[in-house]
Amino acid sequence: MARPPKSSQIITANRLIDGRVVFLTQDLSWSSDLGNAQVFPDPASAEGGIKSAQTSAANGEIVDPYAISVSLTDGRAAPTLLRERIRADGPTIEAGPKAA
Amino acid sequence: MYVYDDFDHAFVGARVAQFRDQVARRLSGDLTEDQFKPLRLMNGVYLQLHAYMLRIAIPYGTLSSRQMRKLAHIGRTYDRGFGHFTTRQNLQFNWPALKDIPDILTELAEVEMHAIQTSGNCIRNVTADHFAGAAADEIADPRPYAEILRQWSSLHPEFSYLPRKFKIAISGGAHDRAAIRFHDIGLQLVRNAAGEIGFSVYIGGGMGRTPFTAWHLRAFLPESDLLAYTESILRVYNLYGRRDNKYKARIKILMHEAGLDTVRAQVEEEFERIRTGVLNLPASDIDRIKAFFRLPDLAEKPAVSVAEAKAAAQDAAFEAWVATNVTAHKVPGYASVTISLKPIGGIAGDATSAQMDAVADLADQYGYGEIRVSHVQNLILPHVARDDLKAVYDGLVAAELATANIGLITDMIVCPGLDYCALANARSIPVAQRISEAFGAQAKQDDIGPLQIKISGCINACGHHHVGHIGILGVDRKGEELYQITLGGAADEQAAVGEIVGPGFTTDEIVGAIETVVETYRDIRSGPEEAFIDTYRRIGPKPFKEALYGAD
Ligand code: SF4
Repeated sequence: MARPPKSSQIITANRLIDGRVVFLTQDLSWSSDLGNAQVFPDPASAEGGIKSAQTSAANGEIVDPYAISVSLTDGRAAPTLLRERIRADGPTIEAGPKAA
Repeated sequence: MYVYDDFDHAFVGARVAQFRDQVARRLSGDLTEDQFKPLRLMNGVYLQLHAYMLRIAIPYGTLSSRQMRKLAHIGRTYDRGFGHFTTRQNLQFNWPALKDIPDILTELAEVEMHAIQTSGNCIRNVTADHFAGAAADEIADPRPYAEILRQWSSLHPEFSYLPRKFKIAISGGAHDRAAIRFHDIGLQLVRNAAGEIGFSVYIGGGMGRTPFTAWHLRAFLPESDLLAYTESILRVYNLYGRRDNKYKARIKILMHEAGLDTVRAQVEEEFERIRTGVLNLPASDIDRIKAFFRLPDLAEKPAVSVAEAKAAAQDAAFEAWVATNVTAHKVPGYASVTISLKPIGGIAGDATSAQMDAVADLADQYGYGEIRVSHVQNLILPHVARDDLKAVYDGLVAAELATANIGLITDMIVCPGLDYCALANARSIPVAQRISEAFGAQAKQDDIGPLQIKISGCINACGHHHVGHIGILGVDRKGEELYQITLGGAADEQAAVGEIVGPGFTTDEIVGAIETVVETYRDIRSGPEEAFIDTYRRIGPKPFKEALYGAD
């Protein structure tokens, strides 16, 4: 079987203090907005991102960083896996009381 | 219900203080995640897809109105205004911040609740029949025994690092509403020929990757031997249970590999050695605990309520709700009310803080302040005068909690699935919502009759799919959600693991497939009074397979 093409990557984690999903940004900070994520062209270049993410983890900013594959449409990244899309966008169902 | 003594208060208080310190040290960087993770798990704190999740034990499913109000308050103050009741009679908050969890635990301790042993390889929350103490068909209330087991198992030093988690359930009588044959230990209250109360003991039941119905270990265990015998089982398991492979570590695998006779011989040997020791339960101790669970003083009433009959004659919706959601009580003139947490198209097991408050108010006004949580993810007011049923119903209508579907096709068990759970392969909730919409019309549900659908988002089977009359298991096929159907499972005294009917269905196909199964049943049942599971047991899977996949 042909190897799948190398896909673009972003780095994600959960914020330590409240567990919210965050993404590593260009300036090596963390944002809960996927749109701010720094996109690495391939898994090899994402290694650098993982290193800086591990520093953030050691500093107690975030927990369990890892790289995920994304596809790019008009420069916008969308996670390849459903699990990661749900992490990025939140539950696909109403995640709060029906009546406000 | 059980009331904490000074020891219990000090015990839970010390544990909260300890965890508060651990969280502070984690946030200040003194503890790494590797060091902290086992500590947070011991306090019921998981990290899920979007946030932390806090799992709070509701011992044997019994809650007071005061505790329910506290849960409502916590939901409102620290979460998003709702909570999720689970198949283990626990409550989960899906959005708490780690920094707030010590405060949440402090608030819980004020109402004698905690999250200890809701995770980890220890003895978990002991579950029981949700009609305990009220059921017309019970031998005895299982909750005093569950409380005794809870006290014995709390931070039991020998059983804090078992090969794997360990779950115990107790049924008050022969009709099993607590799924005891799918627990590591299942206890059924029985009477022997001399009229003494004891337990019929089941062992090694479980779902997950390798489902087993339990083995029958002992026909009669005197109540005074409850702890000595349970401890003997745990010792044998602790010694011989496999620690080399997480997937083979539950006691069901030990039973499967070593066999009933070997395990029984070991258990009995240990039991003989310790039965007269410190774990022997004197009747006075049992009576002391039983006193906490005394039935409220229910004034005598005629069995048939004129007020109820009059209301039913005027309000068909009320009459339909009584037919499905109201259960006979051991005291004439009273009933147990099941409050459905399965609104049509809603999320199974979820309740808003406002709804929790409403249930607490109704419990105070009409139900002696008592509430139960069922493993089917519904709430129960166990002791309601039939004369008050209409008032309770009206209160539930106002709180949007009056869905009349208990035991019917839309009363599904549904795990959180890929919308929340870090272990999930597929979503459960949206599938359940679409099934609920498809079958939600009252006449349609009533015509289909009793039918249990249970849905899990992965093989861990928190949604009990193995024991659904119709089970649905979400799997991942190359990045696509796929749903496997099993038929013929049952969690009660006719326990059975469902049989996989064939290849899975896509998200788009699954609701149609369930409709096909239900239509097939309606075509082949002997009459409207033959329930789905009885038709299945009579005829088997063949017609369902043919309807789903064509004749081969
Ligand atoms: S069955 Fe799987 S997906 Fe569902 S709650 Fe359990 S672990 Fe999560």
